[in-house]
Amino acid sequence: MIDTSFFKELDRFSFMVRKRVSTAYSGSRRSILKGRGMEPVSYREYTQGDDFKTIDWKVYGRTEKLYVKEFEEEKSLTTHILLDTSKSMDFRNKFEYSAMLALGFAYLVTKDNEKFAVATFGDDIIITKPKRGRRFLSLTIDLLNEAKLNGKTNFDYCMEKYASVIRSRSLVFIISDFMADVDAIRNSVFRLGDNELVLIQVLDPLEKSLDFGGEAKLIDLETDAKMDIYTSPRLREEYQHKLNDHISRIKETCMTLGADFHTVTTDRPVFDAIFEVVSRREVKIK
Amino acid sequence: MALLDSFFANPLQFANEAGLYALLSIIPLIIIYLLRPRARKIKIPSIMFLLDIEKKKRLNIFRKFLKDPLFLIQLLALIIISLAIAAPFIMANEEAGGGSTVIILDGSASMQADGRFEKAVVEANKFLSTKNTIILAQSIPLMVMKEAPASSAKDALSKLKAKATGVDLSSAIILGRRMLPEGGRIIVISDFISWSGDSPEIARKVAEASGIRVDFITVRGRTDNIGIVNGWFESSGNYKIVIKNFNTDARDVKIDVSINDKSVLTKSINVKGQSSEYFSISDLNLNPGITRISIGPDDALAVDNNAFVYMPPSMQRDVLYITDNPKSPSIVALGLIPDTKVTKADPKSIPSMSGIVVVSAALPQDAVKKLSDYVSSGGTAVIIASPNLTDMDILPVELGTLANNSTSLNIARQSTITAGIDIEKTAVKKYFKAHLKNTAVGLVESGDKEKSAILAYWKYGKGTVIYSGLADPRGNNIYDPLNENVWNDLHTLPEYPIFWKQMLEWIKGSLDVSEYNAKTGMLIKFPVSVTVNTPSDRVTTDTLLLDEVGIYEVPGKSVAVNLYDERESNLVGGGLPDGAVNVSAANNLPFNPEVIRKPMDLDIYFIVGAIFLVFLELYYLRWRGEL
Repeated sequence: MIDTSFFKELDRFSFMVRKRVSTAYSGSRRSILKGRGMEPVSYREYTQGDDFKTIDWKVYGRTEKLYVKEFEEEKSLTTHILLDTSKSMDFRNKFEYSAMLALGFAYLVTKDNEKFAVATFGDDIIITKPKRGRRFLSLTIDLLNEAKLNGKTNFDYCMEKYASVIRSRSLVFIISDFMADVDAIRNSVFRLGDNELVLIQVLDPLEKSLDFGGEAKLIDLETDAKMDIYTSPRLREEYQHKLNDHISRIKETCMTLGADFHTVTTDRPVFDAIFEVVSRREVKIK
Repeated sequence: MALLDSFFANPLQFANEAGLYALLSIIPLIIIYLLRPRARKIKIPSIMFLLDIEKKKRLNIFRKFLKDPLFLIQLLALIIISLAIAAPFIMANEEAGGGSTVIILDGSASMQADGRFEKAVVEANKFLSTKNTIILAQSIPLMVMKEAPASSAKDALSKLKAKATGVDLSSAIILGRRMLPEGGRIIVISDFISWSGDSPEIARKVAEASGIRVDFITVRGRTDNIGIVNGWFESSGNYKIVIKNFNTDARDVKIDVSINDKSVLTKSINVKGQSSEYFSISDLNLNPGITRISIGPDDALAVDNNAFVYMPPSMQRDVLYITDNPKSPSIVALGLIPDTKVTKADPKSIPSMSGIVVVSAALPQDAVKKLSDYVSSGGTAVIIASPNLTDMDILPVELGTLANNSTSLNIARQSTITAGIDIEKTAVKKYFKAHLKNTAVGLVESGDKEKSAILAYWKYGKGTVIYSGLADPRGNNIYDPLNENVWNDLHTLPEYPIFWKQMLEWIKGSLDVSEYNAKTGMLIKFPVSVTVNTPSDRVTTDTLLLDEVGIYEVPGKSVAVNLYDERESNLVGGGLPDGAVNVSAANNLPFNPEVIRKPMDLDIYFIVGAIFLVFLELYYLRWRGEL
């Protein structure tokens, strides 16, 4: 259960981040587009087809020439946070950790008064409209607290569906354990490749080390498949090899698209994980 | 199916059936496995990688069946150990005596005739089995190889050669019997011409009584032969040989004599069939070195066509006799000894000393010094009592006063000097009272209470000094018992020359040429291992069997060795003992080893299997990364 004490800590953290990382996710990015806005940037002579509303009549009074005002179109970066709610996330505190990561990023975005949306995905994806403000953040906490963890991760379908609702270039976080077919993950990454993409893999230390001490009957949380194993050092070594291979292939895909990829384990303080991701973004933006 | 048939026909049996109770030990193992904590159920996010790993392993067909290899290994190890305790065996076909065969090859001189030995080797190869022991029968049986496989035995057989000795077949058979404690077969391959010791037939019966089958295989060849069957030195110094013609018809025999490879004599004699002729070589004793006597023409047996005689370079004893009594009977006695040269010298003018120095006079001071130096450097002196003899350092006795009373003599210690001589019968009228010095050895003493030393010796420096209190008579009438100059009557005894001969032999050893000339079959033992040049080889041994004709060079001397064995030279003689198999028959009869059903112990294989499983378990644990 995530409560408001997390935001108090996040506040302190946010202050620390702000000092060290400026304009990291600022929505006040200078747009190169001109259009409707508050601040006029220049004047030019009226040409046929220009909106009459844009003619500065005061200037016409002084100069008897028709001039139109040019405004800078305001542009903000919407952040989409996609959180895995498949059954595989229901392992010890793996989902709580992932949710805190998601809220952490949402909070940072809210601080800059930018829009964000948190979507949960598993077999299907639940999409919310991007909004800004602390009230929306509170609603999001409730949404995550009430999230049901079930089903498999249908990466391909969910990402395709979400990609269709993103209207402009956005910042997209995908927080998952990425325990799925590497081809499906690759396809999804490509679908969202137009955006600034950050993949965060959350793993439990036990899941990573497989240190169950001797014999164990393992049950797959997603498929219910059962397996008797003896977790000998050799088997653990082979497992590590497979896992590392899987991670490497995801990383390789991310590198192709210029996306970020992070692996964090739940024994690591969540703020450290957020800080690591934010630092990387900052460097990239600069 | 054939395998199953074989299994049912030859099932596993157990010598110690009580040992099968050890199989109960697998029950606790199974219980431990059943009682062990069940595997914990753990839900994990994904087993996709583990499924991948398992999929690869399941390609191994055994993995499908071996869910817990460790348990299976331990179970198998326990079962195998338990079965090993029960002493498992199967009844297996085996050649009698474990397939052991003892092959006795006659290696005597007669086997050298006309390739008989080579034929024997061919025959021997037909009888090789699983375990082969090869004995070369000579005057003393020689174990060539023990319980070797057929291939090794074949190699060994191909390297064997017949020797030049007689043969003791019965000893070889008895030795072969000792090599077959569990039974087996003995094959004796010989020409059965002659043998020493018991008849081979008796030895065969003894071996057969122990359940060992003995087969005699005879090999034959040409029988024509003329050989030198004996040879010896005559007292005159001539060497006489006996040449025998074993053929039925008379033959001309050419005799060649060479001394030190230089031909000295060639002669031809006619020897009648089945008879012998003597042939003498004059004064061979005067020709030191190696004399080779050869006869021709060639015949079936070459080894008896040559005889070797060895004369050492020095066969002569030199005696320097220092006396002022030229008629001393001991001079005469010494002069009678063969190969002895006696040089007389006056005490006043003594030449350089050599050989054995006999003193029978009072010596001037410088002569005493000279004698002392000579003995100290390794010479030998015999000092005979004489009226003016004074005490000297080199004497083994302290000379006392002259005793003028009759006494008998007693042997204080037996020695070859007095052997066979009635020394006790010697009447002594005068003698020096003498007492043995320390380290001196008394051989003869006076019969009176004082027991004066009459004959004694001691080591002086590197040499030896012998004191004889039996003074030689002086002057004339030496056989007159009333003559004052006759101190004793030893010189009147017939054994007197023998006494001196034995004295010289005691000093210098016997110069019997037989020491340098021997017959094959003799055994020479050395106190330590020595290197000997045999006629064909160079060996290092402490026991040397003279089994070749020719010259052996042993440390310190050479020895000429001859066959001189009429029985071995007689290739016609002898015959098959009862039951012997003729070689031609052996050729036609295939060798069928006797096959018996015998338990074959398997416990060692089971133990090896259990050890293997233990190592397999260790390897598995190591593979799993737990060791």
